[in-house]
Amino acid sequence: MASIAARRLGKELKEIHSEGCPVGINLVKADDFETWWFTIEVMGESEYKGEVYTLQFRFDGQYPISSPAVQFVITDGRQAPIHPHVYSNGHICASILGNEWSPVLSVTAVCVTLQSMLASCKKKERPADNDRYVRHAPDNPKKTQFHYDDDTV
Amino acid sequence: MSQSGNTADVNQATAPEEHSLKDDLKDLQFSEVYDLNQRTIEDTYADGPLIQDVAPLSLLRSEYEANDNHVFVKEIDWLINNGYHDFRRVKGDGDCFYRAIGFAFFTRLIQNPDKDLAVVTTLSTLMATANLLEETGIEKLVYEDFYTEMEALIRWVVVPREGKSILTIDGLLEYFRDPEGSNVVVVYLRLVTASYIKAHVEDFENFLFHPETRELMSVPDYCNRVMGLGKEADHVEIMALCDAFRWNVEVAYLGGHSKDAINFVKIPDAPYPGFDPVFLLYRPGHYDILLK
Repeated sequence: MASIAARRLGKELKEIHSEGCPVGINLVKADDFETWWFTIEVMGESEYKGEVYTLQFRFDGQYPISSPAVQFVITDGRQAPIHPHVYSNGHICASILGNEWSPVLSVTAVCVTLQSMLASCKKKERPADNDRYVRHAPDNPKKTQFHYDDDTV
Repeated sequence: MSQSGNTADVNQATAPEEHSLKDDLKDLQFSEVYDLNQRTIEDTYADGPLIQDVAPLSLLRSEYEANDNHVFVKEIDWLINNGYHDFRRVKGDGDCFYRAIGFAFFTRLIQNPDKDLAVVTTLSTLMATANLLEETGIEKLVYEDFYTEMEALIRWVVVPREGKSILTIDGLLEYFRDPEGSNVVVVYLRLVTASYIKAHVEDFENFLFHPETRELMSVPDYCNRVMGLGKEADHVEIMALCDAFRWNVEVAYLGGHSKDAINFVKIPDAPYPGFDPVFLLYRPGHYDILLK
């Protein structure tokens, strides 16, 4: 019996291939059930008009029971968007990736939520504790206990 | 977190009558009882398996006696004297209610004198729960793996599965102790609970309180919380889940509310035919399985 993660990710991938990604989201690579990459772009008028970012998803064998580890890719000239909930190392402080994760969410649902998080941004700035966080941040953002003090994300 | 219930939770679940000044004085004492209880639960659950072996209730009694917690000792004595001799500890990880009731229900299924009929009945109820999920907007992609596994687990009670003989209590225990196994059950039960609340808004909307802040929550917010792992269940979730699965549950509430007898809350009021009730042991913020 394939793990529940492999079965579910297999279906999500099939759906992405047959129906495509939501507007502004594109699959870059999904060669296995461990790491997937997407590009993400905010459509219409926003602080991020014309900017394209890369999102990385990492899955463990308990996905979708446990949340994926999601972050912006910052290698090979790629950058994390400047946003009050996005650290310069690519880590994202969003409750749906932490204590509000539920198996009802999917990879594309996370992409769309992050897309609207960017779209609703009024002022491009890093989180206040960016430098301190980035200096000590674990490799896996799931190991960080973020405090979600802003429900508008 | 499982140990975050408070006195208000218990009052709401067990004492529907008016709250008087006299009760307030009692509550002061109760909060002390509560603190002691939390420490006892935390001390004894730290690294145990998700579901432990059957243990005599006298063991729990001795733990409370060692802590000088006479309220609980008296209540446990009552349970023992009334035929409830054993219990199984369930890990306090916020999923204890779902894991406990899931395990207890499958135990009843295995013990059912007419297993074949019980399995067929349960499979048709399961199918109805999938319709419920569908009707409340849960995508098939989201629930079908959990559904398929629940179906396979139920069938396993009467037919061998993947070279393994039919499910015994020991086999069930092994399955539930593996997080990959019992979390599937926990997730499915959580999805069904949330969908049942959504489908019966008028029955529940006035009772959807945030467990910590006690503020009334919107139906979508409350249901999102129910669907996430590690979020404790309150009376609302128990009623919704039991109605959706047609399960009979009797919960023994410990914690100093009853003078003589233990206050068993029966859910639903009029039991569904065909299945003996499962018993749960509730101490503020935590559920274990109670056995006769």
